[in-house]
Parts: sequence; structure tokens; C-alpha cells
Amino acid sequence: MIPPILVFGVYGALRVRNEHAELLTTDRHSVILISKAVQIAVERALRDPQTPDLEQLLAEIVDDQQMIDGLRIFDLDLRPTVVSKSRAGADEVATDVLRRVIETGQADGFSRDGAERAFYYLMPLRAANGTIIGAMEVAHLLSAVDERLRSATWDIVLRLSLLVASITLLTGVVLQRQVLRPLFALTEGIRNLGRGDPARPLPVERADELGRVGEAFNTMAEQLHHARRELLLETERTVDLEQQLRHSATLAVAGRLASGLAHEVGTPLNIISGRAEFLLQSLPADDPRRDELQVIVGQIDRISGMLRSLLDTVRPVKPDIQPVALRRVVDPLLVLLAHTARRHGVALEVSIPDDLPPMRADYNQLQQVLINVLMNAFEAARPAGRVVVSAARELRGAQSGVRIAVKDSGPGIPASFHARIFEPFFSTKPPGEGTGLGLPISRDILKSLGGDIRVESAPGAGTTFTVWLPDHA
Amino acid sequence: MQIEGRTSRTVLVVDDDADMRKLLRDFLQGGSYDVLEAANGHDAMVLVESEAIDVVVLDKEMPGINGLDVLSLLHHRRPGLPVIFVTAFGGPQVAEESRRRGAMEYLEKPFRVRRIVDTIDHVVRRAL
Repeated sequence: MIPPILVFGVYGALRVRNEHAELLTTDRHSVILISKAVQIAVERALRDPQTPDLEQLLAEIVDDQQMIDGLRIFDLDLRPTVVSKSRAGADEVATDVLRRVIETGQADGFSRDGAERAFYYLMPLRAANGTIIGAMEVAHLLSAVDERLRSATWDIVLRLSLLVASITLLTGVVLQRQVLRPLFALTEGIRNLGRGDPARPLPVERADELGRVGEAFNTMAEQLHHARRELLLETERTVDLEQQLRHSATLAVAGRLASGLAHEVGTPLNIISGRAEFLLQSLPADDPRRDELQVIVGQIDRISGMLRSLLDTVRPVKPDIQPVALRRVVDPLLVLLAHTARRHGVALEVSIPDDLPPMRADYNQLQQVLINVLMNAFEAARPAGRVVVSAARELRGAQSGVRIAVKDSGPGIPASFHARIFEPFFSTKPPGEGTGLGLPISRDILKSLGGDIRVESAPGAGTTFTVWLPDHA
Repeated sequence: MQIEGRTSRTVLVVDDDADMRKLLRDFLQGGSYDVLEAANGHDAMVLVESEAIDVVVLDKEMPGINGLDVLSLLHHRRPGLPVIFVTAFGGPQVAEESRRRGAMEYLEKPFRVRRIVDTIDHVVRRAL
């Protein structure tokens, strides 16, 4: 807003100066023109001896002519002979100018600044034969000009101010309507988007740049919304999968613990209830102690019933042996694994040939094994390592099969631990993080499928777990 | 197929728990059974080779040779010998596996002792 006002200000100042100069010139011309008329009248009056009162004539002229504020007539000795009353003794006589006018016969004018700014015009007065007999001085006060100049200045300032104000207002309105409002809408839209509100499309009513910006914004918002929904779905799927896997891992652990416990207590329970039964057999039918023994037998039945139903819920289902293609197991896992690898800061590389034969395996169990092994690899390789999954055909004796290798760039496992990592409850993880059952369960599963799992590792050289399963054929 | 000169039948109880073996002995001796005991698979195989045994009660969980492997060995050595396979909370998979390896009956610990005696009686009658 500042530059236009500056331009208008400079323009206004120039206008005022020009106006001033123009006014002065016009004013002076008018004075000179009127003065020439007065000169003729005065010369005629001087030549006519009948003229009764020259002083009165001058007074009349001064009264009639607004442009003339005073008149004086000088003789050749430069003495004022007649003076209009209004200016009597008002002004000093400009002797040098007066003398020059009388000597040269050329009219001349000058301005004088003082208490009252005035313009003086001096003219020679001639007799009928042309000889100069004196001079006449016309005084013209510039106060009127100044007054007009002031009003003209005000006029210019006022017009310019109005112009500036209207331009400002107009620009403001135009800016508001054409630029600011769409921009506000855009900003609001961006803010909404940033808050995660569902993107409301901006109204696009224009075909200009801003309209295109609005359109681009709408497209972007829609894509963003779409991407966010995809991401949410993806995350949900990943979380679901992760929960499922964790659930099945928990079940496997719980099942193992429960069945281990059940096997341990089965025999003692049997002995207790058996002993009670034995006593029952040896007591006569009416012995009151029979009731006590019946309670023991009944309670043992109750405990076994509870353990049986617990085992039924956690016991791993019978493996569903099918031809399983490794890619069919790994591909759905990649979503989750890529996510988990990223979380651990580990680069995951998977290279599985397309021409591998299907394995003889249970899909879910094999998935569980691979997850156990891969999770261990991620934890070993973090925070900035690599995990490489590869697969190839491999013959074990006469049996052809598939070897899956999971190699991590972690710190490696000391040789003394190689056997122990497959023992239940052996864990190098901090308490609470590992169950110590991942690898034992994996080994059990592979064993039941006719395969195996092996480890190769040295401190500082990373670890490779190799899973082998027979072909289905 | 009655064996000459014998009125009672011989039951071999294979279990690593002595109290369990004694429990079965106490019950079976009250009936018309002779009871032999083995604490592991190896002893069981020795007894099967040397003694006239009519029924085997075999537990799954034992140190050394696993009960299922003993079952296979028994079935290989004495294909007609009735074996009652016993395990603590074994589940359907073990039941199936034991039958596949030749067990005649399958019982889960804890069982009512009355019931195993009935089962032995039944098996013996069927083997006659």
C-alpha cells in the first residue's frame, strides 16, 4: 500500500507546484492586460485638460478592477503626483525600476515579498506626440492568488486523497474477493488437513491461477485422504496379524507349559486317587471313613477334569500336512516382517527362487517357525544390521527337500550356546522379553514335520539358522 | 490259547514311578494276576524276553527309551502281546500314535484304578 501513496504524494506535490506557477503567470498576464487598458485611460485623461479629478478616476478604476489594488502616477522627477487612496503611502517606490521605465519607455514588472506579497507593473505615460511625461504603477496584491493557490492545493490534496482512498478500498475489496478469500479457504483447508480432519473439498469457481491452486489442493487432499486410509488399513492389518501371531505364540507357550505340568502331575494324582480307591475297596460298606475317601477320589477327578479341559484349549491342533510353497508362507508375512524390520532398523532381504518344489508341511506351523527365527534375527541384527532370507533345494541322504537360511549380521552366538539355545527356557534376552521357548517349539514342529533346524554362528560373524523340510513329493 | 499249568495271568507294569507300580500291584494281586515290574524300557524288554507275560501296562513318559519306542519294540518282538498304553494327559494325538504302534488299549492318567483292572480283565479275556 505504501508505494502507491508515495507516487500519488510526489505527483500531488508536482501538481501543486505547476498550479502555483501557472496561477502566477495567468494572474500577471491579467494584471498586465488590465494595466494597459488603464494606461490608455490615464493617458487620455492627462491629455485632456478638462479632466477634473485624476485622483477620483484612479479610485474608480481601483474600485472597479478587482485585479488592481493600487495605482500611482509619477512625474519625470520620479515624484508621485497622483496616488489612489487605497494605496496612499502604502508602498516604497522602486526608484530604479521607475527610472528605467521612464528612460527606456518599456513597461516592466516585479514582485515584492513583504508583509503583503504584491506584483507591481510600471508603464511609461506618453503625451499625444509620444514623449514620455511620466509613469504609472499598478499594484496587485498576491493575497488573492495565494488564497486561490491554497484552495487549489487543498483541492488537489483532497482529490488525490479520495483517489488513494478509493483505490485502496477497491484494491482491498478486489484482493479480498479475488485473492484473500480463496487463500483463506486454502489456508483453512490446509489447517484442517493438518489436524487430520476429513478433507472438505474447496469450492473451485474460478478458472485462474487460484482456481487451479484450489483444484490441485483438492486433488492432493483426496490423495492424502486415500493414502491415509490405506495406511490405516495397512496398519490395522499388520496389527491384526501381529496380534494373531502373538496370540498363537502365547497359546503355543501356554500349551507347552500346561502339558508339561499336566504330565508331571498326572502320575501323582493317579497315585493319590488310586490309594483312596484301594482303601475304599478294603473298608466294609458301612464304614464312615468311606465318605472321606470318596471325597478324595471325587476331588482328584475334578482336578483331572479341569486339567483336561485346559489342555483341550491349548493343545496344538493336529498338523495339517499339505504341499506348501515357501513363497505362499513368506509373501503374506513380508508385510509384517518389513514393518518389524523397519522398527528394528534392520534391512531385510528376501530372495526365494520361484522354482522351489512345495514342501511337506503345515502352513501355520511353518509360518510360526519362520516368525520365531526371523524375530530372533531382527533382534540380533538391530539397530543397523541386515537379515537375509534365502532358500534352495537340498538333498538330505536320499530325501530331497528345501533349505531355508536366515542369516543375520548380529554379534553371533558363542559355540557353547549352540546346543542350549534349543533347550526350553534358555534365553539370552533380558527377563520378560523372551520366553525361551521360540526355538524349542520351532525344533519340535520341524521334527514332527520330518525336518530340522540348525545353527551356524561365531562371535562377530553373525548367525545363520537353517531350516530344512522334505519335499512333498 | 491257554498256557498249560498256569491258573493266573502275568501282568508286566512298566512305569518309572515306584508308587505307581506298587499301586497297580496292590490292586492286581488282589485279583488273580501275578505282577512283574520294570522301571524302564530296557528292563521291560529283558522281562518280555525271559518271562511268560500275558499283558503289559506301559507308561509313555520314562527316562531312557521313550514309552512309544518301547511299544514299537514290544510289538516287533511279540506281535500278539496285548499292551495297555498309559500316559498322563496324552491327548488324541498320543492315543492315535499308540494305536498305530500296536497298543490294544489306551488310558490317560489319572485313571480310576478300578477301570484299569477292568480293562486288563477285558484284554485278557479277549486274548484267550
